[in-house]
Amino acid sequence: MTDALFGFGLGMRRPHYASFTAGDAAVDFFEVISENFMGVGGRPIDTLMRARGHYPLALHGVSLSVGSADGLNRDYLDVLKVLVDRIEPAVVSDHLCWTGIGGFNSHDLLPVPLTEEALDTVCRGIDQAQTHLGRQMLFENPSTYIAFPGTIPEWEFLHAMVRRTGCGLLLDVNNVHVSATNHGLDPQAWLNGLPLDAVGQIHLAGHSQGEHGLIDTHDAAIDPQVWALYAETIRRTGPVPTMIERDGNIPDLDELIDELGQARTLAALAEVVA
Amino acid sequence: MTAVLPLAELQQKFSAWLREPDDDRARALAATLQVGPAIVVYQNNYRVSLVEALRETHKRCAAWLGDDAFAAAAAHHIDAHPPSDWTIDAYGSTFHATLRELWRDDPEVAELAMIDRAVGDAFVTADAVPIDASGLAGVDWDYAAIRPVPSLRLLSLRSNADALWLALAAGEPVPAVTISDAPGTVMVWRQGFEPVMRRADVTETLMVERSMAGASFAQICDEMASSGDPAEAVTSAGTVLGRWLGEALVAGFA
Repeated sequence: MTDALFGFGLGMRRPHYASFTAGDAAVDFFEVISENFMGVGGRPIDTLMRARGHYPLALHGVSLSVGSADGLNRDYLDVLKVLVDRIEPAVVSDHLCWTGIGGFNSHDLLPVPLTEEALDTVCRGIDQAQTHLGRQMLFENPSTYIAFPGTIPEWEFLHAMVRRTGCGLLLDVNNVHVSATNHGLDPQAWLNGLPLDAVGQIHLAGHSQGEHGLIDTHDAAIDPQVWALYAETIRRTGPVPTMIERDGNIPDLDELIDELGQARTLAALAEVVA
Repeated sequence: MTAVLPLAELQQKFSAWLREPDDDRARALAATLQVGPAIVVYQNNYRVSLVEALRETHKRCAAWLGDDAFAAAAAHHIDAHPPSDWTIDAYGSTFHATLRELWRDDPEVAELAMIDRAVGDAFVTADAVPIDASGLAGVDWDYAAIRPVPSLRLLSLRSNADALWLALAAGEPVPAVTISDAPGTVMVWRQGFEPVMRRADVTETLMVERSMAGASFAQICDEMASSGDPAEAVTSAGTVLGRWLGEALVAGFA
């Protein structure tokens, strides 16, 4: 049973597990961090299975590391496949990033230098992952805080990535805002360059102001500028499954549902305008 | 425009910089990457996420040490043992050894961490349906080996860390630390979805260690009888087995 993803969802986080497993959460789908459920048994997988019984699921990973010069970790891929086959998610996604090299794993989403060599590496990794899982994956545009010299714009890199691999784009609208702002660029122009026809899912989240720029912290309400960028995005893409990620200062579920209502409203208005 | 480094070289330098605890050397490494000062965001993320991961998987140890002491121990561990597993949940499997070095005269610190880790492991170990006494029907006792549930972990403790851990978990007054010259065994496993633990005496420790090593019930009884009465050994082993069956500790027989 692999239900299609549609509508508006939330990242399922621990304080809200009971609502999701009871089917009481007013969402169309939910997303979890894959690695949190890649243990083999016990309560975590039971929680996921029970919530999965009520809603379509998006599996969102943080450890594939498609940008690593070392290539993918085969053990990780095998365990991910076991979970995918067991839980039959509607979407499997990860990030355009690398997490480590040479046996070191930082467990952070590190920035890929946007070069031809890195593009080859990323595409090779995506091809391998999609072949291993037997399905298309989505890859998320990251929040970045630095830019390496001699590299191409991220939107060009993403265009080539989706064209060469057939993967979809998980468009994180907050990340567009954070990265564009950090690099002194116009978020709207950044959005204009992206392969919007490949967007299979949208993420929304809050950020915070750090000493060196905006930080993608997922610990606050969505910024009005991100809402405006989302309105423009959804106007141009048409209906795309949209969800909010909240990982810090997690409020009551009702507050997140209310915030998700803003996305529903903006999407409905976009359809009216279209 | 300056050319970017080859991917592998750039990632090796970036990784070395992330792990570098010395500020001067870190600055020198960062300069080779030719990026702006915001690169420190990644180093902060790296260290904060690992400290939080250690704190999440060692909650009772963290509560025992307090925030500052735990954070300092975590930082020490991160510098000495950078992560390598694909899952951050696995990070810190040797944290207890770092704590043992840092608190040589206070074994309860490392032992609290050992319990934290064992409980966490038991929480997500493969599911198994434990058998009860009805599962004994038809067992060939000459050859059968008890197969404990896969969540079972054995810990050898010099302190009363198990009592400390349970008090901390329950929010109850924590007993005074006691240290023994002779280590005792604590068994940690999962009943349903809930990890549980308790002490095992000498007889039970022998039985569970030998069972986990694949020895048959008959072999274990023989070993127990070598230092006493054979009939008493069988009775004693049977009593322990009966208790295990009632505690969801037996997955079956091999």
